[in-house]
Amino acid sequence: MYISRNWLKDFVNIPDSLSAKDLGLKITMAMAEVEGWVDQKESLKNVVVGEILEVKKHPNADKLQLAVVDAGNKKLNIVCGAPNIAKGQKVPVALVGAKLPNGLEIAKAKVRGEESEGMLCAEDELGLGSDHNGIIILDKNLKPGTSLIKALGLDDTIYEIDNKSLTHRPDLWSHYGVAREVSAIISEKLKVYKVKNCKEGAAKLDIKIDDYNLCPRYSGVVIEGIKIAESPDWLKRRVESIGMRSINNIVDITNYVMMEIGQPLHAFDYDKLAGHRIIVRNAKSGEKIKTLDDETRKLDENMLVIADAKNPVAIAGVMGGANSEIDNKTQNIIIESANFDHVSIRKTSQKLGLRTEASKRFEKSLDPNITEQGIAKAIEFILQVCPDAKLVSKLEDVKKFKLDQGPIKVSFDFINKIIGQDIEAKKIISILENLGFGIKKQKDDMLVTIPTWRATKDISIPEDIVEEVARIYGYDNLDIKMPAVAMDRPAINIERELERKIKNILAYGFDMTEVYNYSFNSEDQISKMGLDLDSHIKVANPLTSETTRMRVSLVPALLDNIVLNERFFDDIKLFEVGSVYLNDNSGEKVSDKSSTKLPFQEKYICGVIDEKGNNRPFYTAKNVVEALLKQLRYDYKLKNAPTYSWGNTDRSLCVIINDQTVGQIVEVKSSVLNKFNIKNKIAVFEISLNELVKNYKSEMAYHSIPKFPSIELDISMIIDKKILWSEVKDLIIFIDKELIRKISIFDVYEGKNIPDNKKSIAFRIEYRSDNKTLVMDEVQAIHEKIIKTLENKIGGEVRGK
Amino acid sequence: MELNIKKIKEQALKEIEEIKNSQDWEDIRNKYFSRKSGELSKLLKDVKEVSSDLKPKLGALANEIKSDITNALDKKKSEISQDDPKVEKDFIDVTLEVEKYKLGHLHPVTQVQTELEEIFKSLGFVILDGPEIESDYYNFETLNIPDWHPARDMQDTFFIEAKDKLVLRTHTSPVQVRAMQKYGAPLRCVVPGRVFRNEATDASHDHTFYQLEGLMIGENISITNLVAVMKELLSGIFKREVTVRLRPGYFPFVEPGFELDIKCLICAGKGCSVCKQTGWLELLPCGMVHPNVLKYSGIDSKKYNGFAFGLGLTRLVMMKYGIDDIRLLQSGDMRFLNQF
Repeated sequence: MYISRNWLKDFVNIPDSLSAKDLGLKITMAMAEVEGWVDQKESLKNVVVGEILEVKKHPNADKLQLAVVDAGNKKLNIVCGAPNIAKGQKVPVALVGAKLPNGLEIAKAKVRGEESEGMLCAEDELGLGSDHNGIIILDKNLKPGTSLIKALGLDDTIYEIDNKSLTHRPDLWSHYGVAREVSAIISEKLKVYKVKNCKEGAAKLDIKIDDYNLCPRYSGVVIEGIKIAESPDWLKRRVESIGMRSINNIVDITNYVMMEIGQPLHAFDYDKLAGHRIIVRNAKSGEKIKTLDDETRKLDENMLVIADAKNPVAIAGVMGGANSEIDNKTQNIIIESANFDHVSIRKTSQKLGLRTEASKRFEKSLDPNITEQGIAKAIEFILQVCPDAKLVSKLEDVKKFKLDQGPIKVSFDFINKIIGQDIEAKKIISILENLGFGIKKQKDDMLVTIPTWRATKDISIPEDIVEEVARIYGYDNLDIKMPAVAMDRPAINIERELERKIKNILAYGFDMTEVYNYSFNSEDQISKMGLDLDSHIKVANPLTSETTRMRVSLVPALLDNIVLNERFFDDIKLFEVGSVYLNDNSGEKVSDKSSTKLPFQEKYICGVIDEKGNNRPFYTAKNVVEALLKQLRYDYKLKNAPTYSWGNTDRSLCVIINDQTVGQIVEVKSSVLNKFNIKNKIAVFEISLNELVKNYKSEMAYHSIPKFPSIELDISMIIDKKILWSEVKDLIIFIDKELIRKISIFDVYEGKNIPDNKKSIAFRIEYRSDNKTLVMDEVQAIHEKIIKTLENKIGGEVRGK
Repeated sequence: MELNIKKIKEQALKEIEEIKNSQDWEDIRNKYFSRKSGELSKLLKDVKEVSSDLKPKLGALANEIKSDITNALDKKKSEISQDDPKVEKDFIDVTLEVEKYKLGHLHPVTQVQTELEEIFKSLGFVILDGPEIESDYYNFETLNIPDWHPARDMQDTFFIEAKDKLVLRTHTSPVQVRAMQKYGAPLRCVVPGRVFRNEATDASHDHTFYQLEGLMIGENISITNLVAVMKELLSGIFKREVTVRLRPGYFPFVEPGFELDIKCLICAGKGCSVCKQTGWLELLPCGMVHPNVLKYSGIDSKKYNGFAFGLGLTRLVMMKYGIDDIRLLQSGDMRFLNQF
């Protein structure tokens, strides 16, 4: 929103000594964020009136012209791109050295080979509007060389205030409201908002409100003798100064009043209203209206409209209808100054995708009291601008509303405690009174009456009063102080600690790269994986097709990561730690008062291995998982078991801790890889972080270093190809649990000299006792037993026997 | 016997003197020290068997000689140690890159988040997290953002289909309420986490990003406390003393609410392109927890109050590394990720 300093000065005395920057800073620090300002005196310093003496074609560019301009005491050659210049015109000339509001600095330059000693300016370049269609053509009576500031009376500063920082303040959407704040901030008196009394007509305007909750107040009046015309200069300049377009005298007046006191107004052509009536009612199902922007809009029963005896003539608080619009022939008008329910306006404007200056204000919950000042001010201006105008009707005012103005009981102590600084009672009272609050002091407490313009929803609790005092007192004036609290050590979040350890191990132990993928999956990704679409939670309003479903697995996105990276890297080892979302309701409660639960959501650790030239990435994945679990001291088992539909069941292992499956190591099926366009074999591992947390043991006990030497004996054996190493190991360990300490495989061979369905395995067994040095005979006996067992149980054949 | 001992010594020292290479050295050492046949070993055995009155004297002498010979051997070893020309002349190119051991890469958000968590932990804050698919109740209602509230417009929300009033959390603030309900007061916690906004993406906007929410609840917590704690934290984050300022800001779940700015670290407040010539960087929305939020959280607002703040974790990461496109963070592109 734009705020003019000159306009503020109508209501509060702002000393000239307060610079544009300092006033902006004060507003930012105590009221709302000033995003920027244009100090016309500064920014238009080197812009003067120039007279065009001659216009020539640019020799090297079709679209450019060369102008010779009299800028007072010098003739300048200026290259200009605008088509609308002609000999004899008076135009704004930015001289060399000027620094324009849009940041452009004017310097001597050659434009396509021609010298240019300045610039002719369009509206937007001077911060005077948004028009960029042509050079501003000035009054022909101006003298060349006159400064533009003087020529146009531009001595204003226009502040731009961040709308978002005003969402809670209906009173600040106007110059009078901002002036009130400024008066409190700089301790200057706020002038009373004056409106002239007018002579009412005798006729009655029929206004009917269906529901006072939706329309607490409707003030209206009929005026005749209107002559629609261009606005007079003072009106035009004010409206344009804050970035609005001047339309005609009546529209400009309604806008002026809205910008001045924040009350949106609307003017209907009286003669276009069927039955000359105003009915405030909900739209009927199927009703349509063509709004002022020429769009036809479908209405529904939840939308509030202003209707005449037959049809809607405006969408209440949002936009007027074309059927009742004033035009050049309009003679009689109705001025509407009404108040509407903020929720209703917000919903309607949202549903229609139509936000207007009026709806922006109504949705903040405006004070119903200002309809009175709004309509009175509009009448005053209309009578001034249209000398023949006259009120035909009474000033009708239909209303039913009640504001909660408190009082709120607040103690001085409470205010000072929350702020953290002792502010004198006198100071507190004066701050609140300057802002319009009514104060009744009762010893250590105050009874604070809320002014109507803050009572619609903005101020209602003691904490609100604290804010008023603190911000005007000045946050910069507070002495900061550390809180006095017990030095409790924070509880440890095991999940975070574990997550961090795991990430460190995967990245710095296994050369893996951590990725963050989105929580969404596309339906395409899900179908490529062969997963069930319905098991994925659906996003009701996806942004794109990529964000339609919530992921149940981190794998699909990781496979996409591989596709991207295979173009640039040979070895791709990626991992992610992130949430998956199950389509159920077994998660956390949706509220402390309900037993309904959210979808179950848990974090998974998921990795993918893609190594060029490694046809067995499965082993790498397994290596990573085992080393990780060992380092974290988990007691785990691995078991071959059926796996996901996208995985190769023969090449998969379940990770089991405490009899619970906590994760899997899987090679991805080639059919799935084909769909993703992945060239290499890919192995995946995933482990539930929740399960790891549940089974986490932070303690560990040290085992003493062996006192007695061990004996190591090797076995080389031919067995059936399909016998798993784990089966072999299980048979061996069972033979002597005490003395057999380690069984490690060092060779697996298939091929030449080995029958087709067989393989040769070679492994080493380490024997050791805790109590004595083992002798060979003793070990040999066990070793023989092992060989026997393997021969009998799995048909193993010792090689080279 | 005494004489014999001395003779052995003389002979040994002489022989050691004549050693030329490591083979000779091994031979001589074995000649005297071999466990079974070494001359000195035998001698020491013999000494053990002499009569007890002679034992101390002979024993001392034998040990002395043993030590002399050992010393002489050690000395000789260092004299004859020579480089093996065969090994040394085997050329290796020391400039070759060796990549047998490589380290992987943690995501930049992980790295910055870890750093922040350590700072917060050192000040007594516990690290928490909460669900990313959240109820309307926790995401909005308990945070004093009822159904009609315009603040809902500012946070473009992803909704979940067919589930009653579920959303992808638009901020980490719902964890404030969950944490207070679970742990009560007093409480100091931070919640780093993933949040979602349904808005078009470009170089500076993504529909998924990270925030870090902070909350401190206690007795008699004041605005001046909030500023002091924020200043300390930010000095920790930026590793230097920072200057901060508060100005009014509006967030429904705090009252009063503030925007906290820090004096621009690039230009020290003089004004530059980073701070858009203002000298200040808007960094962190914060405020005193709204009594309605305390009520929803089951905290006695007569006894306890506190403050909350929100840090844009993603924004901080981008500032720290000069990342100019937010989408790189979730691109999975190793050309980007392997730089960290």
